[in-house]
Amino acid sequence: MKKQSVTFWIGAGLAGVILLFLVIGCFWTPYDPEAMDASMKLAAPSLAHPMGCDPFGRDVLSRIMDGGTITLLVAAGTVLLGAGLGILIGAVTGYFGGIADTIFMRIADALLAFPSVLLALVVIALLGTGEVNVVLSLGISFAPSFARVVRGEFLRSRSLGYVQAARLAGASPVRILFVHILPNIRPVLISALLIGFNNAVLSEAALSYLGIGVQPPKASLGSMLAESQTYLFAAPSLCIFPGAVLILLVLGFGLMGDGLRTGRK
Amino acid sequence: MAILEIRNLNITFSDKKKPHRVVENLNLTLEEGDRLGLVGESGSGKTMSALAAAGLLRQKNVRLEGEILLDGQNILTCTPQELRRLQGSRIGMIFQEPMTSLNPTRTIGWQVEETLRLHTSLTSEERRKRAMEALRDVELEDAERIYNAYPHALSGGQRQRVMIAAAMISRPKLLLADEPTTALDVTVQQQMMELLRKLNETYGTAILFISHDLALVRSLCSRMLVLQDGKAVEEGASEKLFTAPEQLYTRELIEAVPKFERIERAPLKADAAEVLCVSDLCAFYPKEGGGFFRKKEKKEVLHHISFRIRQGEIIGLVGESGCGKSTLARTLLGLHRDYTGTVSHTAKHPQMVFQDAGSALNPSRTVEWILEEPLRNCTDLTAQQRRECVREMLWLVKLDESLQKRYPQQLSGGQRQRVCIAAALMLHPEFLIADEPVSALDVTVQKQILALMQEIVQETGVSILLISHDLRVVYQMCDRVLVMKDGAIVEAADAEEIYKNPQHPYTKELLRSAGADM
Repeated sequence: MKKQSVTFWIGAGLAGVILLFLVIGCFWTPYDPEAMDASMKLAAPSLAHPMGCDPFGRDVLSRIMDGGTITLLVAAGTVLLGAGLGILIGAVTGYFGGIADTIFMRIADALLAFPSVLLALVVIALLGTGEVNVVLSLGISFAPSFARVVRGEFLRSRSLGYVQAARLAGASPVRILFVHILPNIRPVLISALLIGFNNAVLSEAALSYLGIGVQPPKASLGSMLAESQTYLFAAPSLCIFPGAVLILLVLGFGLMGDGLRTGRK
Repeated sequence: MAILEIRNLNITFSDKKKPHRVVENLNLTLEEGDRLGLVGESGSGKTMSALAAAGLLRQKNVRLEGEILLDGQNILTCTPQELRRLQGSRIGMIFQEPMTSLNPTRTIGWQVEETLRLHTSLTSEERRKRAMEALRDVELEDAERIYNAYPHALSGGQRQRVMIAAAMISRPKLLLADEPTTALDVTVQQQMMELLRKLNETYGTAILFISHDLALVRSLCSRMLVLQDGKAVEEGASEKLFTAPEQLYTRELIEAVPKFERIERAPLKADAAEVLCVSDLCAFYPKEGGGFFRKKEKKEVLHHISFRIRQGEIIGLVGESGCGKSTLARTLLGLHRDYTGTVSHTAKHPQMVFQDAGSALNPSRTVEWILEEPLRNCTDLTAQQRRECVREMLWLVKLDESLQKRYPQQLSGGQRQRVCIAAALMLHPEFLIADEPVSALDVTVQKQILALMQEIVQETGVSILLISHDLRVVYQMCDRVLVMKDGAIVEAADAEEIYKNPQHPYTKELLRSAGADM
């Protein structure tokens, strides 16, 4: 493994800490994230509730640990689906070109013309709300941008000597695409994945904020932010903590991507 | 006073943990009207010296010690403003790659005028006049059209002329030419050298000519300085250095320059079987443009080509860039499908050795993986057997076994080309195409690779179609030569015959450019 830049490691550290925090949340939270306690309504941060309580008296720390996991899973699912579709389409269209390329890229153009949240809204309107549908809708709307990046790289690689050599060495097209070329576009792909991950986290938050993502009483970082805005002045901690976790997570992955991009020659 | 004087120059790169010295204790003096050649192999520090002399190396991670006096002013210590003024008025520089050293989004005229715009107060009319003059000076016909054209509309030779025009427009006292002809065809190369000499004689501009090609340096420069690993090895008059080199390294360099000398080898067997027969081959490319639904028009790029290759034979294919050499190679290998005529192989797996070994090897795989790949695809050998084959092949191309765990970028240029040759030979092909296999390599390495290819032919009986722009290389290596121009073969004969008794005027021109005595 090549040595990475300082930026990358700072990003990895940030993301790592938040991830660890969220992973713990899968197994253990200080309180039941959905248990209400009327006496603790909008309680300020204290030793018992380090991040305070929400309007229903639920512990914010527990809800972040629990809801952050959902945000994370949705983001990861979105990126996997989007990148999977994108790589497949991008690789095939970039390498083979021709009529398939023209058709797929025009479809991608059309999809890219819509804001991804708007596109996701349409899909959710058709399929209904819920995490799986959020993943599906965001994944599909993310695929074109991945396809674009991947296609460009394959187009560039197609004429390189080593690809020609692989053809002469009797490698099948599938093998050329995924064994010969794909590992070489890894740095670009990783950057794209990390940026995509960030966008997915933010998009999920946006959908939940609009009330069509994760449904109550379940929490996600976005839905918590949405709830907090009514109490922005009464209980600022409600938006500060989920917001901070979101920012740190996105910043961490952003720095990692940045470090990878600038770190390679 | 000397135009350029370099005293005790040390250049050290410190971007890694360990400082890396690329130039050590370099001294050189260039008087007005001088033509000095700086020769050496890649990595000898010749380009770094030139960049330092142009004041382009004043960066954070580069330590420069010593003195570089340009017209009496030390460019290592002067202020950035002074440096810019000096760069604009005293130095012109031309680079190796005319494709990338012109800005694709600006017209030629704009770029040629740029120096004047920055360093003089001429009006746009006067600037235009000077630019046209400069373009005519570099013998560009139709200067009017070229003034308004964009770089992509020009050929490589024209672009390099434009670069020279841009460098010369402010009448600099010093012209730094860093391998200005390496990317050009031989015939164009010769014209460039004449142009440089003319400019030098007309305007008294001193030229620091950097090249790995000793023959070129000899034809232009009165003096030359040989560099090895950042140190000056020998300096003196070109003729003297060529005829009586004092240092061993200089002698090695001079001996490695390809000459019209055949490498001796056993004659072909009289009953050698035919491995490739091409007859009446025409190849097509789709024409540029054309709509989505309109029928694509085709352009014929190869015209009625016929030849055959027998077992163990090396055939040379010479011609300038764009003449269709590579298209022919790709067609023979089945990489280009749009053709008429017949190509019949007996070879099961025809292979290719590429010009740029750097891009021909998958950068994310080890040497071992790359060499095993053809076996993995086309044979049923076990992993154990495959590794055995790889070891044998490494031995054949004279590479150490320890290199097999390395990645291509950890190898030198010569080693990479050996790996390419090994990869091409893994399936024991009967027929191999080598597309400019040595043109990206240093002369000493070039010599080794050519010798290796000869040996391999002897050992394995493989037939080679050797594509090259260098007639000397072809003459050394080949039994027969095909001369190609504009997609057609204009002359085909034995190598001896081509050299002694060329028929076609184009062949004669090529021979002359390659420095054959005629």
